[in-house]
Amino acid sequence: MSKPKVVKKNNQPVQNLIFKLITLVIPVFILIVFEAILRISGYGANLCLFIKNPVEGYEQYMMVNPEVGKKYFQKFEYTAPANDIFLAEKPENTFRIFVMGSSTVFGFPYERNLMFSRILHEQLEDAFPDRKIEVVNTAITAINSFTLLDFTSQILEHSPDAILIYAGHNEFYGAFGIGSNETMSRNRGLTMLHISLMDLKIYQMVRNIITVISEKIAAGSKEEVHGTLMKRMVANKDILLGSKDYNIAMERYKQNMGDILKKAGKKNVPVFLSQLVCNVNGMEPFNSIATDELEGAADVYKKAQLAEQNGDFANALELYYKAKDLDCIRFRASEDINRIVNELTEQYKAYKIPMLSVFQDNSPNKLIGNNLMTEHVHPNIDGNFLMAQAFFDGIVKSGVIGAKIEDNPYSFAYRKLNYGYHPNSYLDSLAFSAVKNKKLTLSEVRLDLAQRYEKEGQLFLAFREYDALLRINPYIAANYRDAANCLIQLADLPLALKYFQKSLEYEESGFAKFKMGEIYFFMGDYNNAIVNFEKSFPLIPDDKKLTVLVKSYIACVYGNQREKAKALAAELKRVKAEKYLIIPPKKYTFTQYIPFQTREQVETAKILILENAPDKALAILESSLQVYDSHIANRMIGEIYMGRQNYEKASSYFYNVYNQFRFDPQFLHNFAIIYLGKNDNVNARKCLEEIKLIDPEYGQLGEVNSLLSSTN
Amino acid sequence: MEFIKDLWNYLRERKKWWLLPVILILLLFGVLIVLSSGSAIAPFIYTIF
Repeated sequence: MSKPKVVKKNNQPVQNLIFKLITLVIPVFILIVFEAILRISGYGANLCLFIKNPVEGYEQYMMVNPEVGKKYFQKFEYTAPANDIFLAEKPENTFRIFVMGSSTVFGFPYERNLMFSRILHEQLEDAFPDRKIEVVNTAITAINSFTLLDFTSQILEHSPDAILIYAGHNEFYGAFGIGSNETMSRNRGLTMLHISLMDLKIYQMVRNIITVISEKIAAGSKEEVHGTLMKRMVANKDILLGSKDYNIAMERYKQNMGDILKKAGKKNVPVFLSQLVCNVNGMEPFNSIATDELEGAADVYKKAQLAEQNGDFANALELYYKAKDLDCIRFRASEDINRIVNELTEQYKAYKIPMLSVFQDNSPNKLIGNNLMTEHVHPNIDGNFLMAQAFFDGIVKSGVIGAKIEDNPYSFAYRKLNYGYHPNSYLDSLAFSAVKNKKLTLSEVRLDLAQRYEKEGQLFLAFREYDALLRINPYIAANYRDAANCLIQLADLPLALKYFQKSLEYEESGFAKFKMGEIYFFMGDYNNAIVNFEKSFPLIPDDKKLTVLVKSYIACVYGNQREKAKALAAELKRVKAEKYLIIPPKKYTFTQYIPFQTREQVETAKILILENAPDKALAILESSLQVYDSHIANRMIGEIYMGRQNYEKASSYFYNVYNQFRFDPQFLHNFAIIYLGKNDNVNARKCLEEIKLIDPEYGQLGEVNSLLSSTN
Repeated sequence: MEFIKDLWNYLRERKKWWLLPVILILLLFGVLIVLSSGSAIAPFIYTIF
């Protein structure tokens, strides 16, 4: 019997393939495990653009990561981005703006209070009071379009309503700029790969190892490194107009900005891309090289100066820009960048901010110089206000934020006058101490100063300091409360109310709610006063609770809330405070609070009105509005126009301050007369009915009734 | 160079070829980092003014 034949199946090739695949997968698996271990162990930095706010009480907010710059800067110190925050869960009524750029957007060389984004934020809040405006400044100094492109995807994850960009001066010498790096920056793909890989912890680890090794090698010759770098900056960093490096930089800017606009466009997020401005007539070129094809920048600059001296401003303008473009040290963007901005906004249907013409129109003979610039590219105080205005106008004109609710009556000069800090000599000495003592921040000095002023009773100065602190860091509730407390004592109740409301956005406070209750009480808005007193009650210390009870009781009596008044009276009796049950008669005192900024003018106008000189009073009051837009001045002007039977003008002034005086029967009475003068019986009737509701014991109720019957 | 030679000999004699891709990837990372380590000059301008 023969053995059955065993047929052996040859599995060798399949097995080989599997083994090869396993061999290939193992290294990848090892790298993944290694990356996971590094992440779990918390190695390296979190280089995301936004992180959860780690401050207690602010957990609901995201903030710009102070360490994000580590991704783009290895050797040098970089400035941490501004401390802007935004809600992780975007509320429905929010208009969220992200601002991208570099040192100019960061507000260099000023403190954060002068970042144009902060000024713009206030402008938008004034113009759109019914919307919650969030403006998040993501700028870091010395970054360029590569970094902005990397930011864009992360910004788009946080539901922006608009992105504002002012960038281009750092295309040559900023991080990954052609003048910063001789090899890598020529290859856009490699640069972008490097930026992407920086999110990997393994990559960060390799970078850290290389940095340690290179530092050891360079140890002992540090001075030489710095010296060499500075030398390189002036000697080897010349980039001629139209050269290969120049053209590469322009191409990179165009590609990166184009990609940003494309990404935003895909998500239907409007982008406002600004033209760039710089100092053309106040700055000589940094370096001048004449070639066969190109004139030297210095020569052209001299010609421009000559043309300006001779009054040939059109020629001077052209020559100054030519000199700037020929400057071989390219710290100022060339006009090619502006041409790219114009092209890209056209191509991607983005909104162009015509910053160049805005700055030129605000410069003598259109020559932008030291009038608006601190040095070569950074705007001075006026320049920052102009930038904010240009973006504001662009946003409003685009309509993306909706119809403007409030007219924005504040002029450039008005806003500047009422914004930020106006130094005096005492501050100068303190500022000097802050500069001398590196550990002391200017914010700490300001806080000390504010508290000192407050103790000394110099409330106006104290308020300005708190206000300056708020411009530096608009997210600290305590500063809003302190500023508002000063404002109450300075008799500016509407502004104090606004500041207390703002403080509550960031922190619950019994004090803020109690003070708001008091302000509503003075305004005659007893319902809101009671609500705020009630809310404050559980939050305030026990020794203050009796005060809240008493004030709540008075508000309930004045506001005709009988049931609540009864309950409070019982409570007062229970705590043996019956003496507080006897309350003075209701009296409207809100008109006695005249804001400090223009108190003198308003008082003078009052006297002039009594002396029957309304023309003079009107002139003083109208000029006072240029200094400060106080509710009382508006009302007085309205009353003067009412006396002249100019009801159109009277109604516009009354309308401005309706919210402040809507619980004053005398105001409503006058407003009704004004409406009747305009033949607007519907609104007149509304005013008269409101009087009956808020003050049934109003002294002139008979006249009100006869007016009411006339409107039928 | 000595280190690279040793590493190569180790891989060859112990037949640890599966380590090669890991080493190559880390090496590529290193090259990329060295190439990208150029310095942003712009921050220096702020100290000039």
